[in-house]
Amino acid sequence: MQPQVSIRLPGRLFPVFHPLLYSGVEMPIPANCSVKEFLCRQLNLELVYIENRIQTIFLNGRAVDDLEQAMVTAGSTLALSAAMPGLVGACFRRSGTYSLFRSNVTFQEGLPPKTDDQGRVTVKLFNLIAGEAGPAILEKGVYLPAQTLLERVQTLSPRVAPDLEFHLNDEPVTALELSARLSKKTEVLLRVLGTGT
Amino acid sequence: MDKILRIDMGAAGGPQMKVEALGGYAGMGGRGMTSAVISKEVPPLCHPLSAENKLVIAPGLLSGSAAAQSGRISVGCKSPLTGGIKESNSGGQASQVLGRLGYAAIILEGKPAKDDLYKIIINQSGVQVLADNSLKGLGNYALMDRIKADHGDKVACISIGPAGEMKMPAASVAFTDMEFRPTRHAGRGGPGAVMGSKGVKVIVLDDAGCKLRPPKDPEKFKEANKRFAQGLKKHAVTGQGLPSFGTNVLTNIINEAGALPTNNFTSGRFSGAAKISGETYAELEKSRGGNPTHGCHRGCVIQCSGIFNDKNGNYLTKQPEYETVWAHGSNCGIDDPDVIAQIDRLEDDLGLDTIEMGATIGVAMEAGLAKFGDSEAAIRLVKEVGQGTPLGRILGSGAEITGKVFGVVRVPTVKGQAMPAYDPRAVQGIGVTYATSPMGADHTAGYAVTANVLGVGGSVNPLSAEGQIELSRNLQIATAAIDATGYCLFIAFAILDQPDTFQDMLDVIGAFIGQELTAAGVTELGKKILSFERDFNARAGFTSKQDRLPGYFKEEALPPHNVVFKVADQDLDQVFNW
Ligand code: SF4
Repeated sequence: MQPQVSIRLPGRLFPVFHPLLYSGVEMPIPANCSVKEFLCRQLNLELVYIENRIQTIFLNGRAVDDLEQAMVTAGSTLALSAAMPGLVGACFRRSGTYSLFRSNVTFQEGLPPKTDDQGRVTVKLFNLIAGEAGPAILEKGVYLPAQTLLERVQTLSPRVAPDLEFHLNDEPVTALELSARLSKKTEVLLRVLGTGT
Repeated sequence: MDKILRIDMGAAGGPQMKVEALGGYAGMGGRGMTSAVISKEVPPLCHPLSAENKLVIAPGLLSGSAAAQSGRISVGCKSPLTGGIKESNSGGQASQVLGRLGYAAIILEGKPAKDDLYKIIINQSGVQVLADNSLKGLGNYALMDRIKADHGDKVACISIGPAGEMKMPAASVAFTDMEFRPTRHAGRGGPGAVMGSKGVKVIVLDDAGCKLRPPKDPEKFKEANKRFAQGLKKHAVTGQGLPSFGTNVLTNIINEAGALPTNNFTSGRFSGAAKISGETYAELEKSRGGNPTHGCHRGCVIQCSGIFNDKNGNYLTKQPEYETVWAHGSNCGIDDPDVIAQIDRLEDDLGLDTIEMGATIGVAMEAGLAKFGDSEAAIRLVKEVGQGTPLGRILGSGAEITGKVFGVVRVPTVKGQAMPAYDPRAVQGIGVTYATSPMGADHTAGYAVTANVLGVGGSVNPLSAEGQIELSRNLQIATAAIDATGYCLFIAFAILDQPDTFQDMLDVIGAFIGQELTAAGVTELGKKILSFERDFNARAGFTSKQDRLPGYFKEEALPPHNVVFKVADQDLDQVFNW
């Protein structure tokens, strides 16, 4: 079993953990499903939010146009972003006018699926999506390399650090203790819990 | 804006000024003005640093008015980097101030017989051209301190740093921002070298006593301008994405797509991308008392810029743009935001094009002058450019020359100009624009306004091979037109998505000039500008052979998707076949 780390913080401080979402965290996937199903069921996102806000989606680095056709399998990497500026930002938009410009890197049916014995998907959330959908995902729990978490914790600004409470396997610990006890671990299950503002 | 200021820097007895009516240039602004003047008045075969070349500085058609987002300025010349026509575009305060002073263009002509350096002062009461050799060798920041002492900080400045004085093909022209810092640059194509060849260090613009340019139909203008600004604010990109994270919001996305040129275009993925992304910069800026949401000139509604402070909370530079972060980050294997910000500051100070320099250092690293990822070496190489050492002179001449000197084959240039931050093997459509733009490889040459909005070039069949050609053509036409208005290209997304906002923009322009403007009119303007530019290049000796990407883009597969550039040459030749 991986060590379980939970971090409690005032909701306004969630952004200090956004960098984990930019580089990607892992979440379990019970069975292969479409991108749309994954977003709705695993990430609990509302359809209207997905349609209007998540304008740019990559599955294994390929831009997705059809959310029902593209299949998420264990081992996949799914990245979510709002609409992006500039011509190239516009290119990567779902079914946008310029999607032809990036046809070389568009997700197509029939591409060999990724596989992963652990039954997990790497999820990346960028820009506005990290702020909007990130807290719920971090609360639900994500897997990540212990070293990645420690790097984040160790580089927290001294202005922020006192507002954070750490628990390791349900036992309260300081940031220093957390670092010491995780230093030899490879992976953790992390939950970040917001406690008011 | 009913007059043109010409200054003959080579006149017998010293620089001579002439203010004249617009004549045949009436109705032209920004890129329309610069390209019309260069195409008509500059001998295409002249040496770019000779007396025959001209430097044209032109505010957009709406600059100096209350139109939101209309403070972009164009600088035109025959480029010392490409040998073709050049329009380089910048933000900053100068466009609005020059517009209010009533000038549709400043044209620097001739070349001083001696190597005196000049300061030009333009205000309501006239123009002075003064030799001031004490300004020689000053970086743009130190120069602004000097100007501030003499003229205060309410003026706007257009200047060159040491790179421009040394006439380097990568030299930029700097424009001061709202805080009177020289952070905005017309960088592409070496216009700073042309300004240096004219012996002009700085142009000080003082609009004290001047009024906003009045629209022909004030009521309609005010209403349309208000609706246009609201349209920008309500759109996710212009109202939230850009103000929150700046243009560097693209780093994570382009990296995820496998299109972020890394280690001199050898990969489309950079492992350190998240560390230098716009999201990371925004947090860093906030934590150090900087500001990720800031305009580059007054009247900007979107505010994609920002203020970057160093570790001690002191101002270092503006928030680095996506192009800088790519150029000095992934392209050189560097993932330290502070190092990239330091280089941004250096380039602004020395007056260098950030894209050209990043690409050049990538080529230098490939040549073995430094290792990819070596931050200290990257900083040292940029400093060498400023010092004008023999190596610095080579690097300051751009990626192509550097590649030649050091025998590097993988040199990412078109028409001698370095490619920006998107690998054309992953995003083929942008490769079409890089290849065919009269400007050389240029990402802003085809922006996100298209057939669907402007109704140009017929309807695109997205499944056809010709689709990319047609889209690129339409984009280039639309971009040329927007560049003439003074509008910032970032309005594109909102006007693409929101037909009402597009109409509001047309209404703003129409109410300002007192003449209804249609999408067809915008298209005609864009085509006219591109025709000037293509015609100049043809007379300068350019053929379709220059409308090509370097061969390795067709041969070397780009990881992670292992793709090559596949658009056929004969298709590229159809881009301007309208
Ligand atoms: S959106 Fe950005 S580039 Fe455009 S005018 Fe505003 S600050 Fe300048």
